[in-house]
Amino acid sequence: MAWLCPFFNIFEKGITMAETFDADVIVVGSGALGSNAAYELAKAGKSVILMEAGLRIPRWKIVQNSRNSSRRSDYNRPYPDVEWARTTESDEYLENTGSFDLRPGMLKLVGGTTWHWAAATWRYLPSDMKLKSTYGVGRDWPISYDDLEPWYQRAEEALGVVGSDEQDQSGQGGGAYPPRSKPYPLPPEGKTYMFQRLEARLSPLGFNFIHEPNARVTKPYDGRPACAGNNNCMPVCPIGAMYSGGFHADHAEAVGAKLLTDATAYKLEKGAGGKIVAVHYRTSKGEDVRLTARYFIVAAHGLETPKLLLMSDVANSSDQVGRNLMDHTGIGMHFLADEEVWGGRGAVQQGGVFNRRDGEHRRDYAAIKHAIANPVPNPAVAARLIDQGLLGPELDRRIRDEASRWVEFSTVFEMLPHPTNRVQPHPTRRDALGIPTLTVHYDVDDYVKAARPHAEADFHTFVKGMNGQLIDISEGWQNRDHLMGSVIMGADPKDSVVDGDCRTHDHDNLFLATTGVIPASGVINPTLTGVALSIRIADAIAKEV
Amino acid sequence: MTQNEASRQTSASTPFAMLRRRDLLVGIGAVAFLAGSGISVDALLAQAEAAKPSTAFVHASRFVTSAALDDETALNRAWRQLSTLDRGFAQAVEKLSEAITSSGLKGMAEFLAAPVGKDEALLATARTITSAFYLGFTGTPPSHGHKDTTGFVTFTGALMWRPTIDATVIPTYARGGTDFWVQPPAGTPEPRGPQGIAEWHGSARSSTSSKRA
Repeated sequence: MAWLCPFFNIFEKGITMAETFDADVIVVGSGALGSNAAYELAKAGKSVILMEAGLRIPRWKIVQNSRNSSRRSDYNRPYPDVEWARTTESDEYLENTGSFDLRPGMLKLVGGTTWHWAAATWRYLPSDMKLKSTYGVGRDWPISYDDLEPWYQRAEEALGVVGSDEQDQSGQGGGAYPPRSKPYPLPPEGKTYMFQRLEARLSPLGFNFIHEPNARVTKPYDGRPACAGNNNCMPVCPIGAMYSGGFHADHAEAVGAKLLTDATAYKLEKGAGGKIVAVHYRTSKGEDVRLTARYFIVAAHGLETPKLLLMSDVANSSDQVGRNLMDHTGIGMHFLADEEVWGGRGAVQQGGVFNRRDGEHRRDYAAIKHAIANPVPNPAVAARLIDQGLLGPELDRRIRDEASRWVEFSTVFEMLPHPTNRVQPHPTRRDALGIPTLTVHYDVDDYVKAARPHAEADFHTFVKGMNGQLIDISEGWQNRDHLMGSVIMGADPKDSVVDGDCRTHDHDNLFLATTGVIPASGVINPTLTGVALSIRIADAIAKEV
Repeated sequence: MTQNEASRQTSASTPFAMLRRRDLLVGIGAVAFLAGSGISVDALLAQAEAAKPSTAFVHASRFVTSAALDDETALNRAWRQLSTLDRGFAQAVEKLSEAITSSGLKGMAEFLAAPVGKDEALLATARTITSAFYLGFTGTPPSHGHKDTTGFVTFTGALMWRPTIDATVIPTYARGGTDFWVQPPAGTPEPRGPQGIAEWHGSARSSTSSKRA
């Protein structure tokens, strides 16, 4: 309660207690993870309330906002960022105190941040989940790949994942890996011409090119049309071929879940026996509402989830809530190939080079993933040429020439969990609801720094292999918006927040559905794993309610 | 126009700067509002007139970009925003337009090759105009946050799409259907060296890789 004193001082005469609801399960957060959990529970006949701090926005409005944006590279821009439901776009939302400006592009609306993502839906490798045992660094998951595999499959079916059943996704050039109990729900999309050309010329140099499983359907699936290559996955798919959590928020409602928008959770209320008995939320009108339930799932992403726990003083007997924050901190590179490869045709990314995803080097430096970015290059190419002073017909000629040869690699590194990298409620700043904003302290670790020279060496080999012209290698480090570790999973309640079922060690009716539970980051986009864990949570709760 | 777009525009200058004469004359409700507000209709009309792009701006923009630029709304946006960002912009545009006219040159290529095309001040103005109509926005985007000098000009009309419109899409306006991207655009030269493999299961693997069984 200490966090909220300033708010109550402001509103103590104006608090209104609105109508309350009871449910079997309350899910805080309507993103992909929360909505999938809500859907599974409602489908199983449980009464479910799904809470969302933001609003529900129709796709067409977001698409139009995207087209009309003056900041098209800012993927948050087409989305609401209102004073009572701030997103990471706002300076006010998040203060950084570390050496790195961690600022992931998180959203607040029904469906959450999967409105804008590249829809990468990888599975972790068995070794990713036993990092400490295998390579002597970081932490192990308390569960194994085999434990999670059935839920990976269900998550892929929920999202409509397309993928190759024949590739070694570890990047080591072997047979199909990791093991699967069933084929991918849908076949992969066609390989872009650019991917074909890079693969043809660079794989003889020893680079293994891997298709990226993704949630852009290749044929009609669950009411979604096949991807048509609109090349706008970020900031928004205009046709809904790409999955977003909003689909399962809709599905959850269709099977009986109650969706509450404009409902910002600010307190989890503890009761007898270590139980959580209620969640308190506040609306934009200043109404405070208390909802009770038998079970609670907090699915408010990797920054907001630990904030809510810390504000509520729950689940933190280990003092690990908010600590061990990880992102796949990255770097990038652009070059011009010596031939026309025509990037920008198809979706915004399709896979990449995975040799350093796994291997003994992880004892010494971070795993590395080189993703081939595939946005229509004209904005970047034109801006660069205009900056160089080109004008007139020569500008048009150079745009065509360079856009046809433009190649972009977006590289990520495996980060290790460190207690000093942490998110907390801000000690003094409050949002319009009187709720603390965020403060983050984040430093890139030596494990990542040791990997950078290897990644840059790969960059130079790529350029040389394509007889290309290097444009740039990014300086410093880049956000990749993959929040992990902040409510870390582990077997020991003394050094972790949740167990292998994502149940908090301290409260047996409180589960956390967030990628923040992930204790070993690997290099793959963690959303599919988060959805798999969320469906697993729903199954566990369904057995107990 | 979307709510976002409208909010950006109205915050970019005075609230009524974007209103055109006919906008102001449409609707009894609007007149009643103005009467009640105490704002002079004449003053608003003067503001609206001032917000219209100068003849010199339209002339210079069409010359510099070699484009028709017949989207009046985009011209208005670009003019208003560039004038707001740089109070000397209108005067600079007048100089550029005069230089173009007096040179008698037929196009931008000739202009750039001529002595007048070496005038750095004129070139700077030409680059500003080019940037607005090629990129489709004005100003400099910040990395994040609400403080923002950018302004929307046009999306589908951005001239940067023009040189590759036969080969790549304007995002959100796909054509060609699923998997059109497997083939290169028509006219792409046959590449020298190794041929690509279109099927995923045939992906080439490194001979130096450690094979997993």
